[in-house]
Amino acid sequence: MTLLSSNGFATELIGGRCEMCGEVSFPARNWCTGCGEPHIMPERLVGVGILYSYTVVHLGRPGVAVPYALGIADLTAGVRVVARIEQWDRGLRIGAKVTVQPAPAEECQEDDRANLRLRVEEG
Amino acid sequence: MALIIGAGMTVFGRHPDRSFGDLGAEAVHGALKSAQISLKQVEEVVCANVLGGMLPGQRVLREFGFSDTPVTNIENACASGGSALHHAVRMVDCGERDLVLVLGVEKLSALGGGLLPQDADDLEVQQGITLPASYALRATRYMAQYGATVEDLARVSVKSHENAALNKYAQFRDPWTVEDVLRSRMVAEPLTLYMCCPNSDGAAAVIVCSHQVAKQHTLHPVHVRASALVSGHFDPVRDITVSGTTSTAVGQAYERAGIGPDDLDLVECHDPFAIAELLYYEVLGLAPAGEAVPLLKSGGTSLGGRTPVNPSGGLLARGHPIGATGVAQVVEAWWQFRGEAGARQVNDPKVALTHVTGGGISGYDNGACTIHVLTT
Repeated sequence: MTLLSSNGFATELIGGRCEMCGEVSFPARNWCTGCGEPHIMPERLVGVGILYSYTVVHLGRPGVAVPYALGIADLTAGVRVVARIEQWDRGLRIGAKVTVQPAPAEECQEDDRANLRLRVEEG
Repeated sequence: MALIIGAGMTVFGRHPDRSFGDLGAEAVHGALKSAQISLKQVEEVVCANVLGGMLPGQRVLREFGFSDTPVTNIENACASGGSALHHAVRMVDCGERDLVLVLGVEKLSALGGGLLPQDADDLEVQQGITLPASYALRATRYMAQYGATVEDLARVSVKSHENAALNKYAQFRDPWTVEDVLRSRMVAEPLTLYMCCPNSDGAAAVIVCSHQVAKQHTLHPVHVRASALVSGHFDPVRDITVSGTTSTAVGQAYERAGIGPDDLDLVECHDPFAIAELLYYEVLGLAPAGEAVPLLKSGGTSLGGRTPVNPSGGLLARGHPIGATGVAQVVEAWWQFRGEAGARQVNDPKVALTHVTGGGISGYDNGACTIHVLTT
């Protein structure tokens, strides 16, 4: 299941909505944390939000290039995303508007849930 | 009610030349001697260990040729030591056991150092989160919300190292300045290396028993007035500056013990990173939200202050052999109550709180938390 789709205007995430109780999740879960049932359908979520917090990691796991910026974004869709921040030399500020973007192809991991980035928008 | 009649621990630090079993045995021997009991009298053993592999408790007790008596090994990440104590207390409280040995042991030098392993299937781990990064995210948010500075974070480490300099069991014995802490290498902004606890080896043990047994052994047992164990609350969009897990646990502990934060004479709290101690001042009720830094700067949590926090040096400076830490906090309280804490002695303490949290899985602030309220 793909994580992200783009129609050229806005980035969309493909999360999940529980068919039984309506709970929305991102990434889409296998089991609903609201009612415990495994009936999760794809749900499109707009990939726009606010930067809740961030850090720049200097000590990383073996094989991972440092430093890199990591952020927590709270999306208007009501879900929280933890992801690396691209172009973080633009400046990091809590409350900045962020959009979710696909990770560059050369950095993509097998688990495509991890293949997204946050972009801090100007203004 | 369960009581503690003996305690012992090893020096915490790097001990690559000591075997896992030998480290644990030293702590066990110290606790037995302090309780003046023999290993044969122990009815059950609970051992806390996280990364040591199979049968850690048995590998320690093998040093004594220990036989037959049941041993259970407990893992709850950094809350393992407190969790082991919690289960021993339950066994005694419910009348099932009269004498239980609690042991915490860890030898992280065997793993070679560096970041602790986390679940490779965890999305946040795949995104690049590490334990220091997860605390750094809390620090960034807290600083933005309340105006705390990197110097304030450094001050936590400075206090811990001042205390540890007085503790012969601590990993670090040299005092540090704010400049020392800020100049150390960056780990995850704003946390520098000296704002992070070290990887450590060490062991700690306590003897937990019933009132009946305590009467026969000492005039000065330590009373376990409350033992709370809770799991984290699933909340992916939680406020990361407030530890909900600790809040739940401390509420249960205060209620059970019939006390509040003003009654505490000393606290050994979970400070794997400098920001953690500040956040815990608030959720333990020592300071209102946003007021942890003024409390720290006032000296209120230093030795000689109103409520010394981490008189031992805490995880930051005494060290953090993961499974041993929760038990070592209780050993510190034991020494403090008996007036055996030397130059770091708190003045006539009667009530202590020990606290550990086990963290590091997405969706939760922590996986587990234990809080113990101990009194003379």
